[in-house]
Amino acid sequence: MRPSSFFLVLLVILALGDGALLFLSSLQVHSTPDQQAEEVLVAGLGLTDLCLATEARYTRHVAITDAIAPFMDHPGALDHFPSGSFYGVAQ
Amino acid sequence: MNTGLEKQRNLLDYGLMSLWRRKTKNLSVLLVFALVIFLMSSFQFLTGALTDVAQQALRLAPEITVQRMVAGRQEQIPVSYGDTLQEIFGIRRVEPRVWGYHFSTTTGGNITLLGVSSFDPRLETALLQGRLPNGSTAGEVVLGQGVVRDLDLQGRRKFSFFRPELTQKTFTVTGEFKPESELLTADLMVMSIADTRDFFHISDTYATDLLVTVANPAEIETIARKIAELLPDTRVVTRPQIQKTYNVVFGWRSGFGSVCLLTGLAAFIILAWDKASGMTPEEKREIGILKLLGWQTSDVLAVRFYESFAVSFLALLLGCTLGYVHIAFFDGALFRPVMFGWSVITPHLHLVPVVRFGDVLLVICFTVLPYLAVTVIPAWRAASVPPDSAMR
Amino acid sequence: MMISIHNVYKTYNQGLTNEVAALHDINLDVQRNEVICLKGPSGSGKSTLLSIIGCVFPPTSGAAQVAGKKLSRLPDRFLTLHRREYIGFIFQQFNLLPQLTVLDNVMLPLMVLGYSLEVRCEKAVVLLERLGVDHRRHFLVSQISGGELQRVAIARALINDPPIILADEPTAHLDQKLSERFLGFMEEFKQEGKTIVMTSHDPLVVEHPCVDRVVEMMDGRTRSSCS
Repeated sequence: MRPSSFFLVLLVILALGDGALLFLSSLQVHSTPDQQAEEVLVAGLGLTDLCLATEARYTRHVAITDAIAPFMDHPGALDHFPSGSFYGVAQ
Repeated sequence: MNTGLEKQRNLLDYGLMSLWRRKTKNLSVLLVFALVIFLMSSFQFLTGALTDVAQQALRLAPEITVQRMVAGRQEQIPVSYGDTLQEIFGIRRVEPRVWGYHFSTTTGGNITLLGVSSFDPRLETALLQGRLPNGSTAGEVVLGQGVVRDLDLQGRRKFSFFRPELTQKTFTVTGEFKPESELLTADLMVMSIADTRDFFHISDTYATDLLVTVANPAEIETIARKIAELLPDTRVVTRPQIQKTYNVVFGWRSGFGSVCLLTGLAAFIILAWDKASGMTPEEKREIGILKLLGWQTSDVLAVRFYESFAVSFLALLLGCTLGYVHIAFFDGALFRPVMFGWSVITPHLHLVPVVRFGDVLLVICFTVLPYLAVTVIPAWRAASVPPDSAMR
Repeated sequence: MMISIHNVYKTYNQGLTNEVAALHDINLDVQRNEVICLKGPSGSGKSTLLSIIGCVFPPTSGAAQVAGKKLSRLPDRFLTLHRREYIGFIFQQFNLLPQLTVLDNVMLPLMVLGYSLEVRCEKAVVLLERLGVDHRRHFLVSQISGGELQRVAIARALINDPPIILADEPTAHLDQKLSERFLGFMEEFKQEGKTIVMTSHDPLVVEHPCVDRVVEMMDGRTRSSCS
């Protein structure tokens, strides 16, 4: 086989693989999030933020935190976002 | 077939063959390049996924949240402020909300306690088991799955927390939220508003903040401005602002991570430049011979371009695929600390990466284009070797 | 007239301190189907003259016309176009690419002309068969003998079917038997109507019956004599 044909076949295989991957994960979309439940929760409880990180008001409630968040609640916490993101609590 | 096209295919063949002759070297370049692209595309896909999840989930977030600021900090807001707001035309409902954090000294987890004045019966559908607190019995709570894991009740229905002045308050678990909703509920402990006031010692005349529902969503900004004018000591947060905040937060976090990656990218590009600009005598002779045989400078350049293109395009496909798998099937495990921060109570969440044309274009601009530039530009000098150099 | 060279000068590194005058007032006319041998000691300008005839670079001054095209002021790009259509080169060092197979080497000039793989292969195999090195076609160039190398180089020079064949010291690395075989091929090409210019100081070449004319060169000047 010519190298260019081989390369083309390789690209097609990779592209098909990617297509299959996108298709597979789009199937997962239907199984995981419960959009209606989400809507009910957000509207019913008046939630303003996602629960991604829970350690301080400015990580748990990013959108409605203090303008100046001086201080984390965890006694071992180091300080503000960037370092707080990279280091865990001092044990 | 068209001879012009056939010629380009011949040149592609030639480039691929010469890549294959040095396969160990070129495969390692491909792998390192794919790794760099993997890291960058992971950030882009993760940011896209989180932004999308935030937009989707917070579509029905409270339209306006009013908080009172004292000396630059958020303080409790008098419930009477709500009555003042009723004067504004267009506001349908003002609801006081009482909520706060409880730090568990035993587990290190930080739990969000949320008081609700009246439970929407539809909330039952969000429960995995049990029922909603009925409002009349004190101490009834519904827990999120993260709290369930953190407290580790092992089947017990009752547990106690200390109030600020160290008296105990006992809670009874009446239900748990579904695991699917962890992105919203993992750290929540939902109870009646009276229980929250009792636990935090907040008097009936104060609340944490006020939720304002407006009749016409198109008027959110106007009404928010009126509220700010009427209550100058408050901060007014609107739903569009919340959504914007999420874009900005994830954007800057991924930007922060990407900047850290830039050093790695720069190192790789310098390596590629070094590799491409240093020409061995054999390469020089090869180009001289090709030119004697009737190859133009542009043909030699085209071969170099096809070589670089093949390497970078394969690396792009591989890197982006790996990035997608990393987010879709491993939930972005490598970058969770950067995007989420550390936590004791962590939601178990499944992310669906979003492949946006713009993100892929950004990755191409930061990786493929510099690589093409640093490999093809030195090749220009190489390709202009005079043909008689092979005759001497 | 296939090749006509009048008052041609070639100076390397012109204007620099290491300036070298390689050709000095050269005049040479070659008829179609003529075989010419340029003879002279090394450094006499044979290879430079061959390069000018082969459209590798233009002369510094003077008029050079090859296959009906004036080369004097032609840019590189057009020299290349002209070269690949009219000229076949056989080099002293063969100049084959050691990392490629025999077949790939022979097909190199056809790649940039837009021939498909099948056509390229067919043309190359026909020539390799004719020159008797067909059985080596999938060998790497580094794996075959000197005589075979030269036949591969001849095949590559002929693949475009050029009217002019240029050979630079073609027998320098061959023993007598192989040299005679090479000259046999040249005779065949002459009968096919090719114009051939060789450089050599090998008496075997200079005195061969197929050579129509010997041009002696010395210090960048010519001295014609009939053979």
